[in-house]
Amino acid sequence: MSNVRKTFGRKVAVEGIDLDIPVGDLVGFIGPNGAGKTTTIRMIMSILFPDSGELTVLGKKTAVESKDRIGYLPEERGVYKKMKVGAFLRYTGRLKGLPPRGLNDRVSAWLEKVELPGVWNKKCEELSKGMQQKIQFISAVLHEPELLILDEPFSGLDPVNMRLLRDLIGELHRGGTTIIFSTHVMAQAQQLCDHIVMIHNGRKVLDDPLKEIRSRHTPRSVWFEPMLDGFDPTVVEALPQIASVRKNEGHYEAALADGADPASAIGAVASAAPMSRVELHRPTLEDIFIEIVRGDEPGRDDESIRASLRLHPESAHKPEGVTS
Amino acid sequence: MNPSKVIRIAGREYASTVLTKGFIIGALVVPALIAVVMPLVIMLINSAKPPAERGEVDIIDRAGGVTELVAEKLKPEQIVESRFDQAEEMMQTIGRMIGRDLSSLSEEALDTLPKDQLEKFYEQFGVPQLRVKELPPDTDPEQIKAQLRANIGKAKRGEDRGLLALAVVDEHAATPDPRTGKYGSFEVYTVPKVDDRTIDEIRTALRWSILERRYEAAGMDRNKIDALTNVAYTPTQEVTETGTRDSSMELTMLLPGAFMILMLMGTMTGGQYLMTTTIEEKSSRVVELLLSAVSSMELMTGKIVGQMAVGLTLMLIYNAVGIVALIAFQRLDLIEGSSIAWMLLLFALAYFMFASIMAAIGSAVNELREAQALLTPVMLLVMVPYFFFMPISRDPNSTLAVVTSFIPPISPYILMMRIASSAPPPLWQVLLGVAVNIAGVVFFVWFAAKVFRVGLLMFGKPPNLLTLIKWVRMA
Repeated sequence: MSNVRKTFGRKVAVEGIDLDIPVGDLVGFIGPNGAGKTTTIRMIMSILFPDSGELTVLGKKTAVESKDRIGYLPEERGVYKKMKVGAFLRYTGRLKGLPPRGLNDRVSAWLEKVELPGVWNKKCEELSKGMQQKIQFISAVLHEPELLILDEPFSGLDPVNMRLLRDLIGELHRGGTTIIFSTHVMAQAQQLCDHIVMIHNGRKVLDDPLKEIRSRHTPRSVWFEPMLDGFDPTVVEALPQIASVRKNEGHYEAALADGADPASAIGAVASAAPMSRVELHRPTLEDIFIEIVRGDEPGRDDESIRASLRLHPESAHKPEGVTS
Repeated sequence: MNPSKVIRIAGREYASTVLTKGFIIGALVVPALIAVVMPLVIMLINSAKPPAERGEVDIIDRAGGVTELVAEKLKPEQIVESRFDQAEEMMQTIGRMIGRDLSSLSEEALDTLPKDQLEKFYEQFGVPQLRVKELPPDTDPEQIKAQLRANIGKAKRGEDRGLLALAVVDEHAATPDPRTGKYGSFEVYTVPKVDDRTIDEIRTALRWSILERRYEAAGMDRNKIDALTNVAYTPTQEVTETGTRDSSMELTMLLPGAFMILMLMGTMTGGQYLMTTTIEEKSSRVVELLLSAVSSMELMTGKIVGQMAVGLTLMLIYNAVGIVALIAFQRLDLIEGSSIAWMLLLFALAYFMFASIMAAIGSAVNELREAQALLTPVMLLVMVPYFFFMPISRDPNSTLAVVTSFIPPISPYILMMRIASSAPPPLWQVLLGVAVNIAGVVFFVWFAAKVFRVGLLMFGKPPNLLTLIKWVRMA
């Protein structure tokens, strides 16, 4: 994908994104709602077409020719309410070019895998939303795609199903499938991906392997929880390795002074007062994102940026024609 | 475009429409029920006739000699006879319309009935039992009217009401007024809510009796006059290659309309379903899942083809019913095989244009309610062929007919009416019309494909026509 641009009327949804996803990678698309993730994915899927720029999918000019080799779980998803689950999966499988022979076994096997045996003859509308989502996941992977694109696959799932889905994604990845998945919950990407692409306001702001990102953003703060109640933070603040201390939701965060060695800092903090917890804090993707956005928009404070990440997709305002 | 994917989508579209209770009931069971229930309802209406009127009819006969004739004419057996005559006349008219002789009714069977059964028969068929009483010519009508007034609501229908009606016959009813040379008439007064058929029969009896007296006074023989004024009806004959047959003008007039309505029905049904399934796919969000497997053009084509099969199914079913009916009347010769072939072609053209519009509307809106605003102009357009039915079936080669034959999307219907009419248009007009329509199909499908592609993923406020045009430019 090189220099791809897409506008809806006057609104620019995606502005000059360059992207190269190697075969076999598990890539996380992250960014807040409305950043342009879904638009980018739809362009990869040839559901939308870019206004300018070039795009190659699995060696083809557009995904139209290779749709049968791609699996896609859209963010805006649904099922035929009146159709039976088995018939629905058979239909989507056939649309993806699967031969009728062996299709039933394949569908049954997947239903077992997502812990939904015995729903074959149920109407889709009889299933809960989470169950429907698993059915849609099956329809995305049933034909064993080489490239799997999952748009917000975890939204609306309970923790148990979230873990189930995460394991399935991991399994597919180990099996050699290239996977792109988007999420606005950065912690999920952190758990799963080897490569992170961060999109903000239609621009790519980060595109690196997770390890590299981690090593680049070295820990620059120590988190601690004092054991006793009457703790005086100035004791820690007085340490030469510490620049400042602030209290945050039940723990303290001490920022390292410039040039201070993290290892000696953690030791100094631990011996300053009786502590129940002392840890060297690694920056999360969220922290990194906030750092990047702050560089872009100097006026914004951390909390408003954090809040924009936590907005639930359903409650977020969506401008016409643009989702996520 | 991948044909196997298109066919798969068409297959699902067809099966999910035709195999629903809604379609089976709406398209097949309801018409079948109507066919069965209608005669039953008519029978019920007929059998639920109000009970026979019983009562007295007073006549102030100033002309003289009318009353006895009226009394004769209002006897139950006479009334039955004239009712039979009416029924027979009706059957003849229907027979003329379809070009068959249906006048085989006979009242002879009645003459053989014993008396008690005869009375039961009168009762069942609401034949009135009336007593006719002559009053002196100088009776004041006001006085009798007062009696009628006193009689209001006294007896229920079916019981003897006593005085029921008063007729006043003008003194010059049978012989003309010597001063003006004009004949007089008669007046009838009744209590409220007398069975309308009975009133009709009283009036007919009076008119008939007065005429009888006029003929007599003029010294003329009624039979002779009847013979003079009646020319026996013989149906128009059409000369055919092998002989002659009864003409059926009315049916010939109706046939183009029948073809047009059949086409409209197929088009509308397919188109309506197409719109609702598109809205359903969009609002249930299943559409993006489909778009991951097929392109929007494949999806639209598949849906249009699938619903075309639905429309065709419906059309063929009704076609078969129509043909069976024609076979029953032995008038299959009215339809030419080529008409049906043309109908299939013209249906396809009309359908593709209408279905494209419906697919575009379905993809543009979020729910059925929002579609109404966009549908109104489309439905007005659909009504147009109805308005043209009368003028075109009367004169299938008028300027109006020729001009409208070349205006899509109404042109296929107009062409169909003309082809099925008694004066089919020249072939060049049909071929030119078809060519114009093919161009129309290309345009409508092009327009719809663009709207469809953009519309499917647009959620938000429902668009108007201008927005749609903007989308076409955008796509």
